[in-house]
Amino acid sequence: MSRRQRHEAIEGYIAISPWAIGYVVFVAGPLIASFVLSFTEWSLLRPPKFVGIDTYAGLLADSLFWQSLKVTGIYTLFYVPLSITVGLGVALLLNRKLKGLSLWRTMYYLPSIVSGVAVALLWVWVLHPEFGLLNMALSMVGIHGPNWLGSRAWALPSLILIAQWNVGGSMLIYLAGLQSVPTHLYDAAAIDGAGAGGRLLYVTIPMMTPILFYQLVLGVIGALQVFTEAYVMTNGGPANATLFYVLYLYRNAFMFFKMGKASAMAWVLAVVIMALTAVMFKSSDRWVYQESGGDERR
Amino acid sequence: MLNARLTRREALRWAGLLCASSALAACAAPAAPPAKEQPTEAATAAPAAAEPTVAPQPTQVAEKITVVWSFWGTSDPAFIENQRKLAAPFMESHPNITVDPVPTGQGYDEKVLTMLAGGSKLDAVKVSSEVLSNYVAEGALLPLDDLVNKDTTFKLDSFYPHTMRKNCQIIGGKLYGLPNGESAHVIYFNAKMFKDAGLPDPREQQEKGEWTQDAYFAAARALAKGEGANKVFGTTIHLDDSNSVLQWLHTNGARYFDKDFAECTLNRPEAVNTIQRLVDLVKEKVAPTAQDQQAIGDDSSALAAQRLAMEPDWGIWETVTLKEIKDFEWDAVAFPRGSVDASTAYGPHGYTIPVASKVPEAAWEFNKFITGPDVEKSFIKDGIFECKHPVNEQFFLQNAPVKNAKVFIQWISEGRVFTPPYNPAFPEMRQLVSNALQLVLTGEKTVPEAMDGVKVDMDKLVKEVRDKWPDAIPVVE
Repeated sequence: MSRRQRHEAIEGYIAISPWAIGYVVFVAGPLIASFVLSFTEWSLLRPPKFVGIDTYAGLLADSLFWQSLKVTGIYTLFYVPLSITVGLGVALLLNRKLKGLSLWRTMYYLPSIVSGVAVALLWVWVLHPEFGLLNMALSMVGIHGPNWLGSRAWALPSLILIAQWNVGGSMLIYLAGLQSVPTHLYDAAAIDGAGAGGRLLYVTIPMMTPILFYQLVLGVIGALQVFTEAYVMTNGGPANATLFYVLYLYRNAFMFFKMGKASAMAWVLAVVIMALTAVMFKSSDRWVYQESGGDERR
Repeated sequence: MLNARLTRREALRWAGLLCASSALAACAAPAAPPAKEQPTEAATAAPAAAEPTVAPQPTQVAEKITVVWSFWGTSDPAFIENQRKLAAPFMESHPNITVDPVPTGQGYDEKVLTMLAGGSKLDAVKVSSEVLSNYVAEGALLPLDDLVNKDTTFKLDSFYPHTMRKNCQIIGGKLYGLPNGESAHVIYFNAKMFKDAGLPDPREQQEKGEWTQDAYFAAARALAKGEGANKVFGTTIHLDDSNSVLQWLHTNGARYFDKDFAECTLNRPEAVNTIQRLVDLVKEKVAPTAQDQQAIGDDSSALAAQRLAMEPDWGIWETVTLKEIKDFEWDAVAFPRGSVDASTAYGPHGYTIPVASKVPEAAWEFNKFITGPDVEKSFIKDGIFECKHPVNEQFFLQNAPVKNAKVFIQWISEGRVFTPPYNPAFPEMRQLVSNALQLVLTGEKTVPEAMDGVKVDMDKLVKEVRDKWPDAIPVVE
């Protein structure tokens, strides 16, 4: 390395040092600390007491840990595919030449920028079993709607449906993706006799797979960390039917003074997220279209 | 010799370096703030909450001290400014002490916990009665007994004796907090609804000794009417919050635990029967479900909007909302007598001093001031506190924004109070009981089944408390 190159390298390091220092102090440091703390019993107010893997063993024996994992797993399993389908569907609809297109796009996007707490409170009204809008609408077609947020069977599905309210953010990304699909591919498909369904299946969706993959990864990570809706609308109830993982983690950390257990929960979640992300990345070789590079053998 | 001409590349490089060093400087620890002078506003513009108070006598300590003061409320700058003004008379009389209020906003308990864990400076800390024993059990709070004994100007008996509660201020025989907040739990009611329905006024019933829980439930059933958006509920019963059942249980001879805190007793007949009666009110739609409650708003708002006839088990702070009612007559009456007892749950919060405080004497001086009779007057006028000092009794009776002000202090002065069995595992226990009650409301379990179920988990926590925190075992009253 020449003297000039060394000089440039030093300057480069100095230039990135605010971020690097910030990362070490505010991200990497707490990450390592939480990992160490996950092997301790710590109330925050006394020095942590090392207990080895007892915190993790305790989690395995804690029925609410499993309940929160189950609730979060079910939510992720249904929310992610549904949000991808709805988001892509809305984007496809709004990618056509419609009258008042900008207005439609704005209308669909708007809910995603409204505060989560405000939206949650709005939905409490909409889903009220007696005078909520949804049950009133259902009663007009002779259906007696359930107690959406008050029943153990319906509370979680309600939260999954409510989450679709925020589909505007992902719709915008799908829309950008749809507009970057080369038109000559559609022309070629049309010449080959493909109808609307064929064009969607053989052109649009394959070309959108990088974006679908991106949304899938982010969707899964986001779904595994849901907190606000459950905290505001159901507080984990009724009877733990919506006890999301992060809500239970929060309770352990700040309500029950069990920061060691909460740290262990955080690491279990991190491992689950990493494992699922790795599986998604591994599977992406099989279904995500790579414009350049990719596996030449296929 | 330096070349005086800079190329564009070099200029950009130096600019980058300059930006980087500026950012680094910004990341560095801030310079020590300038020493705070006496507040310039002093008490010239006292806020609504800060009625001018009589300044205590100046102390003779020369050293400049800052007392960091935390309390719950909002992080709204106007609110913080009001609190600052509230402390102004104290700073006038203690020129060497600056009181620095901490804007904690929402999530107060979490913030205080994090600040204490992180070593942030906190000196005078208001701690909720429910978690006070957690802080004590973990050795985070300073026992105040030595400060009390050394202080010739302070007398604990300036408070009503029954405001010093075991499980709250007093844990393991030591004093940890000066009482603040809370009040007797009473029933607020819409007097017009009673009159219109031809029901006897609760105050008259109480005077005649007829204000029983049977009478209460009968009135609630008679006053519940309408459907859908016009539904008026007779009462609220917050079964999703186990704390709200405590008073009903206690007055009917039931307890969370046995006298020795050896086991949970919620599955005993007196507890099961009491809970069953409350559950019935919700199932009959006399009391709102959790979803109904979210739709009609909190209790005081629902009462003010005439969607609720009676709101039970609330303290004086509800008058902050209720005093704005102009359309109908409302008042407060004592909690109705149960099958065994007429008493009120009472667990005042505490003004405490963390062990880590470097200025405990100054914090003590401030805690005396902020819980003292002079400051109390401003809270009384706003309807936030009842009086905890006998010296303010007349002032309270004349100025509290509620007709039947006496009901808030009578039982406390007479000692007809009990303290919930707060202990270091209480927040977790509370959650367990709430979940069990929700299972009853969803119809998945009967009350006896749910209480048998919760006893198993509660007993595990009882054992944990006994093993881990023997000094914080609660007194079961």
